Amino acid sequence: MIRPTFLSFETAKRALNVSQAGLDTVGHNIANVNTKGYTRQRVDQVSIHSNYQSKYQIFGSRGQNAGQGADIVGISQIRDPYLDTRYRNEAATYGELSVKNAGFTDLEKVLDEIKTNGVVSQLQDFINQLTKYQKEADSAEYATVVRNSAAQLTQVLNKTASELAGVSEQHLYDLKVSVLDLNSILERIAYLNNQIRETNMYGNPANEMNDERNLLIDQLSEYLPIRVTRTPEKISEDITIERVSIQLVDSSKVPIQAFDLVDNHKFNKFAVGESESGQLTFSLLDGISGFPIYEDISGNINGGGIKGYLDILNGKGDFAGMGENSFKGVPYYQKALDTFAQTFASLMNETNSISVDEAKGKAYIQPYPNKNLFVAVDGSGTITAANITISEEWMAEASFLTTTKQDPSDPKLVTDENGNPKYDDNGNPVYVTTANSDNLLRFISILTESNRSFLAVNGDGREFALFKGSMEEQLTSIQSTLGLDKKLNESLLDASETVISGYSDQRDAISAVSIDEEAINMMTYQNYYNAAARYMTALDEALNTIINGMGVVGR
Amino acid sequence: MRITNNSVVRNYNKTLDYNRNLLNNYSNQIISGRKFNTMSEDTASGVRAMQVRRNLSRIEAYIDNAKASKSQLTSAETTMMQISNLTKNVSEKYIQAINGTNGEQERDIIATELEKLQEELLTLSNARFSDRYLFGGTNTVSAPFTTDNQGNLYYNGVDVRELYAGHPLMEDSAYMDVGLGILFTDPDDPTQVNPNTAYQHTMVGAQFLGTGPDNLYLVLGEMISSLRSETFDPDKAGSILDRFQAASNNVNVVMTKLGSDSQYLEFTINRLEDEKLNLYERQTQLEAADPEEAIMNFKMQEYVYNAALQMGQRLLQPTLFNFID
Repeated sequence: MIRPTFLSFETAKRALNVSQAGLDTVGHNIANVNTKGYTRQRVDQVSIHSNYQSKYQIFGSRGQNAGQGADIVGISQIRDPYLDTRYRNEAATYGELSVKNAGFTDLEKVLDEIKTNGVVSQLQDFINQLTKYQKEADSAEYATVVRNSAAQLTQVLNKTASELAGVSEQHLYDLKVSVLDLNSILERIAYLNNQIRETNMYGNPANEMNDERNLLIDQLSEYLPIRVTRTPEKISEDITIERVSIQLVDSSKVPIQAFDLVDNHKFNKFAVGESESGQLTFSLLDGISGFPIYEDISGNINGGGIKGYLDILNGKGDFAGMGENSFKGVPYYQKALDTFAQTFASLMNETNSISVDEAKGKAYIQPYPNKNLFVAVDGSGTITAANITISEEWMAEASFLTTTKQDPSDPKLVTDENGNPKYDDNGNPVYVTTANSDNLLRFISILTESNRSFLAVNGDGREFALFKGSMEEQLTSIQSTLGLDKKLNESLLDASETVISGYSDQRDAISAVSIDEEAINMMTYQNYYNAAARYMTALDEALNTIINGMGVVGR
Repeated sequence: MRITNNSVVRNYNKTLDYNRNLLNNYSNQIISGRKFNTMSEDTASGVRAMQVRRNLSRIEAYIDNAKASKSQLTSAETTMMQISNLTKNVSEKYIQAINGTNGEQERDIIATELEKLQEELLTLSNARFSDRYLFGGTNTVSAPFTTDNQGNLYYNGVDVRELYAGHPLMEDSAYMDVGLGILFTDPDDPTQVNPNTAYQHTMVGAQFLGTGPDNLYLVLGEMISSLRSETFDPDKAGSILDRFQAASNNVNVVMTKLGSDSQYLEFTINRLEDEKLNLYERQTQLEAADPEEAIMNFKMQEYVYNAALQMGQRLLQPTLFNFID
């Protein structure tokens, strides 16, 4: 069998192609070294054997003809899907912890009093004014000082309550923005699924779209704990394409109930709502029509940034009833502060409302209605930190604060040395305010009593003791609970950051571009190209010899 | 493991950020002088610090109260001195009057002087200190001692002749918290404070003036009428004088009590001031950053940070391309 004349030209031509493709790929990799989510690509080369049409040609050549050079099978990505899964699992934890960290930091700014003066120092001021008032129990001016201190205390409580509500609002807004982002990610993944399948059907590996999809799935995994399933579908002899579906799972990886998020081109989306009891609901809707599939799956989410938001916004801590969120989130701190306000107001009102039962011979405490010092500003029965205020009667008359149990129904006229009655600025006669301060002592001992039980009602309607200690200690315990939770969360967040960084490093080890490597590849392909070009020249010269140099003897 | 540019950059960023945070923390410690700024940074110290603050604010109030009481007490003591001198003066003058060589005119003159002294006694008993009547018990706004034209003396509206040792007006007292730990231990009356746990800061004038017919003012009145009467009986006068001198002993007894009260307050104030100093020290221990330690830490961290910055320059730049022709 004669060797075809132009046989090797094809080889040279193919070599030039391949080396140019290699250079192109090197250039592509270098250009994308900083692109987020980019996976390095490499050229898949195979060598080509001689192509014979009939069995005569096969047997006739007796293996004397060389191969036909190299050809590109494809340009492929290098990626480890198992590392991806592990990265995404950790990302869910990281997402949850970092959202909670932001929540705790905001709460700390409102409640912490190490550096600022808040409710605790105002309560201390009030107690001190009461202590000094004991020495001045007959002074009308000092009664005003005490009332002003109490008014400031209610104002600080109101302000703190409104700031806590502000924290809740801010995080709700962040959650809604996150849900918008989440929904758009799901939609784009579904769209890419479709595009990639179509591209794959035409034999194109769609590397860049794959990168984009993987990046989106990484972002998704920070919001929710997910599981990605790739099912191969064979659509013809040579072509197998993937069917990608993503599900929301229980982060313990045992799918008690999994919710479909994306399946090929179909996708679902989420919405945040509010139930009648004021709890946030997280519902799953159909992606196109928007019809709800599940009204509230907030109880089924146990990882990811979304869980962080739901815990911060719904978490009632010790106040939670059955089926309610028992994380110590903003509602817990709101209710703890409310418990303080209620206990404080009811104790003060009770202590203020005494009168003397002379008939029994000795002084006796008898609850005397309507001598309330503190009331709810909206007139409702329950006092909270947001609505506590000074009562109208106390506002009108500073001496409404009962300093002594001595019978107020037998007042003595204030007279001067000659027995003439004294008149105040409005021309009214002034009555004796005795200097007796026994009730003030009772106020103080009640406010500083160290074994008080702070009772509250939880979500099931059951009463429980939130805290046992003095009033100031209860306020301090709110801050120390927050401090401990935040510190623990910070340590966990640090650890998670380290783990996720480790996974990133491992992923990069396989998939990322190393400039040094690309430089070497570039030199290789460049030399390859030069060699192929030289070879082409050699073939050309050989042919030249045959065409122009043979058979000219004697011419 | 294959090291790529991305992972180098990422790790460098992370470590640099960590160093920067540490540097920031140390410089904050130096600037603010505080070891920690939130409960989460050091919860155990934070809770203790809040406790110390609580005690400190309470003590300031006690010291304030005790000092105010002490000034009042000093004023009361001065007044009592004056009353005591007055009683001595009265005794001397009366003895002079009893002396047989005096005639009716001389007795009249002495009677007038004694009347003036009686008025003064009333004024002193209604003494005030910064707008408050000192000796009216819990009544500090109106004069405790008043008279009518018949020479009767009323204490807070009650005739002193009807007063006796256990009368409610005599027990009438106001208590003040000076940090002894107020307790309400009376089983019959939960509003009655245990007197051992508080300081009584009011004074009942009827205690030194006397109750019943042997009241100092009333006896002085008897002395005056005995001098002004037509018939002067030296023996009867002598017994009146004895009663007067016995009654004026009350003044000395009360003065001694005031003296020991004053010492007690002094002692309490000193004790509270000492406790305050201790608490300040404890607060410094818990909350203040030790400046030398903080500065040293800062310097070390600054050195580490600078080293990290320099390394970055070397770590991030060169690639193989720098060396290819």
